[in-house]
Amino acid sequence: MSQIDFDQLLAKLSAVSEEEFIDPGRLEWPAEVDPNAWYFTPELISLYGSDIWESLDDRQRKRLSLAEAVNFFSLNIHGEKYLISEISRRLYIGEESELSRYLLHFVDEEARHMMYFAGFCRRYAEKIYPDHTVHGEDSGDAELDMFLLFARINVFEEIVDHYNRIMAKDERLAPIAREINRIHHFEELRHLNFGRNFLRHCLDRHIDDWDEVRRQELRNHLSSYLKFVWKQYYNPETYQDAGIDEAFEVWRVAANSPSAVQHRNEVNQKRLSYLRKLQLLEAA
Amino acid sequence: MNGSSGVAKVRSCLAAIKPDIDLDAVSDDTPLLKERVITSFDVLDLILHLERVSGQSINRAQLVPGSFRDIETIARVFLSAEVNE
Repeated sequence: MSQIDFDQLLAKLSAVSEEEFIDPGRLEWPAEVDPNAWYFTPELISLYGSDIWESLDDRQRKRLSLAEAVNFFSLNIHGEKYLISEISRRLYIGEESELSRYLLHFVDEEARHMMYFAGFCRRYAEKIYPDHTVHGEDSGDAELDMFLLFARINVFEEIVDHYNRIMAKDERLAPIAREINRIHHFEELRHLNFGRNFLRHCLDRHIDDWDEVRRQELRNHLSSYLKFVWKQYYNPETYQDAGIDEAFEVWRVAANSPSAVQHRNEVNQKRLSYLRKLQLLEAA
Repeated sequence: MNGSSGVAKVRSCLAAIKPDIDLDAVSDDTPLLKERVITSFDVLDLILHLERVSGQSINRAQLVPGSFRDIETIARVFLSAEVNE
């Protein structure tokens, strides 16, 4: 993708962001949790298909669905907090004004997403699950670090969007849970479009600078990051809050259940194949 | 609870999250991140195990790469309440 094409894409994305502003203040919040409602699509719950899941009754499963929604929204809050800080310090450096113009929208949209994610967590669980992320240090190569930042953001957002897309249409969910997933999916489509094109644009510019050793390092880094992203979907505190006995022991085995492994493989296959085609992830 | 017990607990946590590592070859002051014994992406699991063995939530302000420099440092930063008991 040429610089001109990339700038044109950025201008278009900025224009759409300016025209299709979503105000989180317009959300209508129910006063309290409905214990008979689903807040997370059952088939996406981290324990779905496991022996533990089979042992839960309908009420326990719905309680777990609320805790899983709070975990999902919490990990989004922490992911967005990080990317806002990282993107902000890269704004208006150098000549790439069209890039900075769009990234400012990106940051603005992520900040508004945090408002409704936090609104849900605070209202219905009185908590946001803590962030367990320790961020590595920069390599010192600004272009490489920028590339890796957006590659990580893209991996994170592709998986989140898989969940958003399904839950936005799931009529079993409480309307507030469905709506939050719907509006997040709507805005994230632009971020995903940007992310995929940004990575391709960077690769086109640097493909000759980055030798096979460096490319292998990139693949290793992103493959490890993908595993890390998935780990965040399994949280012992979530299981504890859902009233599940021996929550820590449940957590220790949850991610290795055959149904969980199959689920992650299917999502990776569906949403991240293009990163494998770009040789940015290890083969499945 | 003394310092060596804290170190032993950190070792048991590392063994749980990285069963493929030969921990006998890792000394208490081996730089874990620098030597790639663990990566920053392994820290999530390590924190949850540390919280389990200490019975306390980790202070988020401690979640910086320097806190995970080596086994001794992890024991001091995250299990120091036990060390002082």
